[in-house]
Amino acid sequence: MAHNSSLLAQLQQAGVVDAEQTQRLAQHGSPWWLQLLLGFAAWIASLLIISAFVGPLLAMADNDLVRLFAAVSLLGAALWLARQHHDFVQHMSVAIALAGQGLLVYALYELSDNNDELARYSSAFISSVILFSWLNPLHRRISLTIATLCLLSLVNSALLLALISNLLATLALVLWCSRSHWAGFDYASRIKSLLEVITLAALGLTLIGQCLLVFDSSSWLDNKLDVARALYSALGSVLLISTVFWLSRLATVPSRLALLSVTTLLCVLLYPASGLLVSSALLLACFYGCSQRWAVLCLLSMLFAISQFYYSLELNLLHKSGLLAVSGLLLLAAWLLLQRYQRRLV
Amino acid sequence: MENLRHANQLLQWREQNQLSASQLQQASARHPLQPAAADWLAQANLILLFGAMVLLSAAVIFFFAYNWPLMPYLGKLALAAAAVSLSGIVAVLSPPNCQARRAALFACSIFTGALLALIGQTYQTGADIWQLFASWAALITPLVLLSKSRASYLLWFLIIELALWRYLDTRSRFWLLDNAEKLALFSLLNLLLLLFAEFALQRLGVRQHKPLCWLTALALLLPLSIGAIIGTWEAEYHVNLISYIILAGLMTLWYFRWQRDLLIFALLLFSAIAVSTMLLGRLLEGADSFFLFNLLALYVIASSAGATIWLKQLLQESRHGA
Repeated sequence: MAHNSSLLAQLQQAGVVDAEQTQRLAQHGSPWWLQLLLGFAAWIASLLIISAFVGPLLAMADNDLVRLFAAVSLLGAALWLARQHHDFVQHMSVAIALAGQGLLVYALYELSDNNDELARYSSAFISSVILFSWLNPLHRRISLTIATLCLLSLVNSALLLALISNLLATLALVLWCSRSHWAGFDYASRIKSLLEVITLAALGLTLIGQCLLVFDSSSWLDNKLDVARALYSALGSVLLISTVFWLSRLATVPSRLALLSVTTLLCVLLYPASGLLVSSALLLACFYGCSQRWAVLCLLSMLFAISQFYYSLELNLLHKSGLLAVSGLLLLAAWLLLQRYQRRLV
Repeated sequence: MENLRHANQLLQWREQNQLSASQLQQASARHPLQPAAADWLAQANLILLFGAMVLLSAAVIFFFAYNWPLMPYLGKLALAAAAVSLSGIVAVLSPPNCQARRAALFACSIFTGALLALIGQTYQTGADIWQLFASWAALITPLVLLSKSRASYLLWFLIIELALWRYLDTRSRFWLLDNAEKLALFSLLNLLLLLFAEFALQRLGVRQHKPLCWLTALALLLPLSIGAIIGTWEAEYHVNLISYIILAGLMTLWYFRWQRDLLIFALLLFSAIAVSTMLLGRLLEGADSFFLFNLLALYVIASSAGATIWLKQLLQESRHGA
């Protein structure tokens, strides 16, 4: 926490902010771990509220319209509470809004003769609409996550999954790399929430893509797994090479050539481990976007991708071992090169 | 990396409309909003070296996992021992406290596990998997101590956790949480790891050891709180509930009064909210469900909001104190 104070002191000394704003900035925001704990508490509270309402509603009137009315009332109350500037009320609005959303989806599910597809669409739609209300960033993130999960659960084509995964990864890369540009926009806070959810979804989907055979053990995807895996790998390689190409634009020509050569070789070697390639690209983009926390998450995703690679069935263990050994030696050679020439680079 | 943290904070403030665009522009003159060449180099050094070690170690493990019907046992063992020796020699030859030494010791720790697995597989020792993890953890202890690296300690902690998990899982399914004693034993080991992380790591020369303390605290509080939550309903788990109350009380004293750590304190607060919610539910067991669930929801909202407000105040105090 100390670095905020030193940064604020430097800003105040340079005349960028005045004393009053320094005080406000020092008190603003809460750390990520507190947001995570709060999100968890809000989710539990919303489940309890739903449990409290569903029973009496069923007992009083087993009527979908009554449930719809209760859900809309909860959402209305949540929106009203969200306008009050108090931490407790803000927190309460998140839990009540989540409960309202849940109850609304349940009522629509019942109204549509238990059509779960329609319920998932409506859940995604409601979450997206609520995104444009004045609910706080915590609720925005939870809503976006719900919408993303609902929409992704509707995909039952492996090819489409591969395309969406890489599309999301591309979007995340572009947004992380242009963070300093969009940070100035009025709706930057919304873009940030979207970026965080997209990055999480891209990491999750790319790991799923690497183990499509295991993931599709109950054959709910269509039978084009081989093409989808190839698409995952090809697009993942393109993403990694493009990211390195763009990030190294200010480097000298020989350094850039060396970087691109190493990256291309890695892409060729680790072609079957698409999760590793996309996670690496996202790691670089998050680092460029100055977020070390997200870079660490990408690193964890890379470790997971390596451990999952052990179980992938398309190559035998000896083949995979060879690929990993050559890739490791390539990275080691790159590190030795860096040790030798890094003084010239700074 | 201080520059990067400053840039991230400035961007966050701007994203939350706390700074104007012109203020961000002014601030960016002093604090660039992108990583500098030195940041890239530091990151590249770390990622390339540890990435190489992880990939090479994985390659060795995959290699031995492959079925080698024609290769003699001694040949396999010699290969695995060569990998351990080679990484050991690199570690010995590298200057002390440098990245290369830490990376070599990390790789040596992983290769040791591969060698042990190979011995078990070759000679069919009949040992349980927990014995493999336990001996692996014991054998790499000197390497981990020498490395003074967080990655090596994290690996060591993970192997110890796995050893205990598999040990508890040998007779019945531990993941079903069907045994109060096992849950208490698991909590006890995690308490020892937390004590080690808190008191020994810094003295052993590990820099920035706090993330390891946070992880061990989380690993302790999870089984402890789960045991306490079940303990509010089942008499068999009362020991877990009592040990939770004692340990959580002591930890609160330590992390609030003597060695303030707000992240662990927050974990304690929220685990207390979870346990007390269950206790409240138990106390009002016969009440009307509409009243009970709404009361519990209100309690969760009120207590977590209260905890947040308090934690924010404490954060302010720590910022001013820093």
